Amino acid sequence: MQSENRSQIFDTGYEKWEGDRVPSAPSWALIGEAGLRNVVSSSGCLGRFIFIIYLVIYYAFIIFAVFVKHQAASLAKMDFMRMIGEQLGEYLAQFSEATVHANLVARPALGFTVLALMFYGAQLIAKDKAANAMQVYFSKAVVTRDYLLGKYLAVSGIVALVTLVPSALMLVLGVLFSSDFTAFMRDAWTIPISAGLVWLVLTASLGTFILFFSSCFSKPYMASISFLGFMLFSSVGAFFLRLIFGSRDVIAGLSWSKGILNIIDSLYTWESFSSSLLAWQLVDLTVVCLIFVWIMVRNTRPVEVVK
Amino acid sequence: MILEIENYTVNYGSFRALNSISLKLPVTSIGLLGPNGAGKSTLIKAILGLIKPDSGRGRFMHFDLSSRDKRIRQYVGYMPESECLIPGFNAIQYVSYCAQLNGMSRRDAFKRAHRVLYLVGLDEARYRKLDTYSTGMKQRLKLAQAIVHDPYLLFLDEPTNGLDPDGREEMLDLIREIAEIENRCIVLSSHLMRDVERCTEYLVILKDGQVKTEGYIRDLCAGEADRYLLRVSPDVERAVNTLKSKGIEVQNRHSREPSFEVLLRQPVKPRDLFEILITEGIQIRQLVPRNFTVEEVYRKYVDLEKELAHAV
Repeated sequence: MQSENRSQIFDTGYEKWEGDRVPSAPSWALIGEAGLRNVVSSSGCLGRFIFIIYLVIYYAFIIFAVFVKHQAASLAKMDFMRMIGEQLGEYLAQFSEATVHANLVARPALGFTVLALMFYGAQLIAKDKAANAMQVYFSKAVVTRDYLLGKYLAVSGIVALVTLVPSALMLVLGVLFSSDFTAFMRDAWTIPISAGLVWLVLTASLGTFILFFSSCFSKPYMASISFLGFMLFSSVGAFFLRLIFGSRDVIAGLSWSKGILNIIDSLYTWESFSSSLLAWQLVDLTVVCLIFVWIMVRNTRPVEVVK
Repeated sequence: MILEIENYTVNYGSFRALNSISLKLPVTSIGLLGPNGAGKSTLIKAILGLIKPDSGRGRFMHFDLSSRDKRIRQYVGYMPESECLIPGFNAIQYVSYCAQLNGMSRRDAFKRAHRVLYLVGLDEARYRKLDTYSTGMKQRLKLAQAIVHDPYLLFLDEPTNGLDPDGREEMLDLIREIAEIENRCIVLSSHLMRDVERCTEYLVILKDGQVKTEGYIRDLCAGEADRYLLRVSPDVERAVNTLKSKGIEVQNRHSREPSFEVLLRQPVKPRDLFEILITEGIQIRQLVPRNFTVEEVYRKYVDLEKELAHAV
């Protein structure tokens, strides 16, 4: 199309492409990867800096805690670390690996995931809607299932940074630092399964919430505010319902943040202080997630049709 | 036939956007004409599966359109009318991403993306963020994402919107080039009849969600056998009066040029016009069978002027 200094491409002009039209990767994987890349590129230098600093501090703290737990005796030999080695090491040593993971991974993960999804997850569908990109996606070999799976994949990438990565880090360091490998493995063999399940639960629950709100708005900040409002409303609502109807598990289960926290705690420790409450929390969370997914699928349309 | 649809109906609530449309499109370049709201974009979206038709069935290549098989779209390209860029990409990432979504390997997608970006004239801007693109550049980019996977059927919805005159010519040249490639079919939807006339061989005219006419432009524009365009000198007024006095029907007299149309009825033949006018000292400069333009064909079926008169 240019008149001067034309590439040799112009001599051959438009050419056919006769390759196999067989995708090398599923479209949901491509959409997920692109979603993550866009989230990173759109977060700005300050956002990226804060995000990275947070993770570095968090991972450093985890490394320190694991080292103290397993190498308390070595630390106690050093004068300047003696107090930490004796007191903190002794304190941490009384907990099982599962409890340490529940406290150092699961609990911070919930807060981090809520914040990260508010800032980054809210963009995933809302920005596509604002840019009218849906019709581009759906004019390619992409169906709604692929599109939403891709967005879930992007959310799962964010969640993995505070669930799978720290858990894996703690396990590897535990293997390296523990004085009794067999005892450590006996204590920690369920951790990979628990970490995987926690990652799935956070992705499926908080991921569904944020993607639902993201699919309802074309402005990411509206999705963020609605997501936060929904989380707060569920806690406040459950509190008032408890005041009116008394403390019942079915009502307590309506507080999503507490429900998710209880579920992920239970997944690490494999025990719960109330199995009835846990069951209601699972039921309530599953029902609300299914309703949100149903609405989200209806919201995710290639073109907006005004009836 | 590359595409066949039968009784396609699309309703937006109580409004019927497509009313039982049946079409058989040959492998050639096709122009889709119609006034605003005729259903051109809706037809394209319904064929692509972006809108679910309320009734009807269709076939594209060997695929059944009602199966909503996503592989269909690997063979179809779509350049939407509205702006539709995926945020956060530069041009090369965007176009190769679209190619990968349509089943190309990453390596092939990048190679092909570079190539088509050169072809649409975005070679130097291909690493720039899309937010910095002008309207014309975005239009070129939309074409690039539509052709990157070499579709068998390419839908172009108002492709020259927002382009400067040079850009428009270049865009039409490229569309024409693609249209001439063997086994590749383009459907150009536009309200600019010149664009359609220049790039397409086959015409479909839509109005009120219905197909008013379809066919090859050469057939649709073929004039009536007894209608001729006549250019005379020096006195056009006298020529018209002379012919009328001989019982020959004169129509469509041009306001600025010395030309008009005549409708010859038996037994009058074209050569008789020379005899009649020469005796009056009038010279015939041009006598040609009168073919219709695409615009005239369009006016004939859409009858826009009559509608406007009603509206006023």
